[in-house]
Amino acid sequence: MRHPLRTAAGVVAMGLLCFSCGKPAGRVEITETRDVTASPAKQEAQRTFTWTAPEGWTQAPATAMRIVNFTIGADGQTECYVTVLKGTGGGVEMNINRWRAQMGMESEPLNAGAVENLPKIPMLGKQVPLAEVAGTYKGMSGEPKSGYMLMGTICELGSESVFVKMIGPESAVRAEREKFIAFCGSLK
Amino acid sequence: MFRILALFFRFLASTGLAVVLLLLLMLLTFLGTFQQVQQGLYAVQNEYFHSLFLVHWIGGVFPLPLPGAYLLLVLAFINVACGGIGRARKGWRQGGILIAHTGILLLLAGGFVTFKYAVRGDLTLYEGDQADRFESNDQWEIVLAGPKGGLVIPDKEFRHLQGNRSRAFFAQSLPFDLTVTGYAGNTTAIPVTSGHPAEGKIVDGQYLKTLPPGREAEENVPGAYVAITDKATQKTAEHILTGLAGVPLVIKAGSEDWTITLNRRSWPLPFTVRLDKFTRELYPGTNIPKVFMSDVTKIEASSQQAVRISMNEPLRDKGYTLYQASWGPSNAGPNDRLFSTFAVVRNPAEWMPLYACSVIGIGLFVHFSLKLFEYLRKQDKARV
Repeated sequence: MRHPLRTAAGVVAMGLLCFSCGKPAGRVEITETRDVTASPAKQEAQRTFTWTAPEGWTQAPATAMRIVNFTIGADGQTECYVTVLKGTGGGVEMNINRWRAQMGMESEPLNAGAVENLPKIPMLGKQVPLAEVAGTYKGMSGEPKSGYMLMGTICELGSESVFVKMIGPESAVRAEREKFIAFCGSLK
Repeated sequence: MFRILALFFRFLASTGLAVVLLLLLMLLTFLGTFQQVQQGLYAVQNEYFHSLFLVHWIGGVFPLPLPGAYLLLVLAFINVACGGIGRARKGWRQGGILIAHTGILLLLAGGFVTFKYAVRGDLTLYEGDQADRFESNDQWEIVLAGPKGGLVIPDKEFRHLQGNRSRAFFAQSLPFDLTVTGYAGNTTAIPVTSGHPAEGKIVDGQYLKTLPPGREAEENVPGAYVAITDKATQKTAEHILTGLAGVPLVIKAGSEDWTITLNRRSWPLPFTVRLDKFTRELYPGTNIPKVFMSDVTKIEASSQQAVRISMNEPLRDKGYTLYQASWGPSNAGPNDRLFSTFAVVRNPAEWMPLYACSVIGIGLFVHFSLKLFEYLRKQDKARV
């Protein structure tokens, strides 16, 4: 290779020529159609859940992804919420390892056998695994919070999956363990 | 002008360019292999191998800008076409080499067709259920369903609308305009409470929090802010739209009810698949699957066919391939209904690697055969 620098510069120049421009803004007409309809009856038939709120849990309004939110304790540092996602939501093992990663345990994922050996609690007619992970929580806000605990469970119902998750200071979460299990059991 | 073009062609056809491209591809493969341990396969595939350019951080501190594998392979195609065939000596003695280079071009072309036009997704069925559509793991779509039909916006039209970038979508049959902004590939909607002060625009008492990309494509759940502008009243209402939400966004426009959902992108199959029976065998004393297979019926307008899909024995028909990928629920009890998940692939260039390698093999066989004959002929001459 007589001129390696010239060759390398040529590669970069070719790349810049190939680089695509940004997509235009403005109004775009939707052209793709699909044979689906919205019907109020179909919306009413969609699954709704009921539960018994444990004593001391304050219910907050449902949001786009959470069918119910609770804050626990006067300081509002501990929360519990239920999320319903279509399909498997990625599966039990993947989500438990995602929670472990949120608690700083990404280097110690659980395999299928270890997930199977987690304690089971009753929920929505099934025995579902209960994940209890203590560590440094780096989920939602920018600041990592040490001394936190995540307690969570997942129930796959086929067309949808139900996630129940409680996060807060470790001592507070441990104190609410039995109420968490009772809440999961009350979901219908 | 002609001289510039000639210089440009000589550069594109040069052996030096070929060496640089191969070294860079080797470097990308090396760096990407280590990086996927931290970032996951999906993120590294997009960043290192599906991109034009990337920045690799050495030790997390020093930036190293590099061309992506997509760019390198496009240049490699041009280099082989110009140098391996365009500038190469032509003659029967070079026939084998020319055939082999043609095979390499076919291989690279097949890779490009696969990258641009292949469609991959999953199809999950419970026993007794049937479906004629499959869903992507990493592509999304906004589906607007009205009283007489639906409209679909694929994510290539809105996934770049991050931060303050926005775009308005309209249709003749749609009684409102939909403006999408603030899209993020992995999000969650968080209610504004004392424990979680808002970190973004607040809509309906919640905000959209951007999360780091998941290691696997399936972990990512996107979200965006949408503004609905009624065409009749010109009133605008804002909402948060998140993927896989259990309840759709319901919009009333005049006398029409519309639902808006952000779903995984789906495509139709040319046939319907019904899962008749899913069979799994577990290793004794464990819940770890040893083998699992699905007995399905492929239903078309005029016929039905029973097919068994198992590991290494996919269903192939009309350009689609259905592989046995997984099953569940993972917390299934002994009498629970099971579902089977098939990986579905439609790849127009599915057989290109086989054809390309065959052409390369023929080319090398021809070349080495000619070399052998020439050597033997020289040996005979020397003896004489």
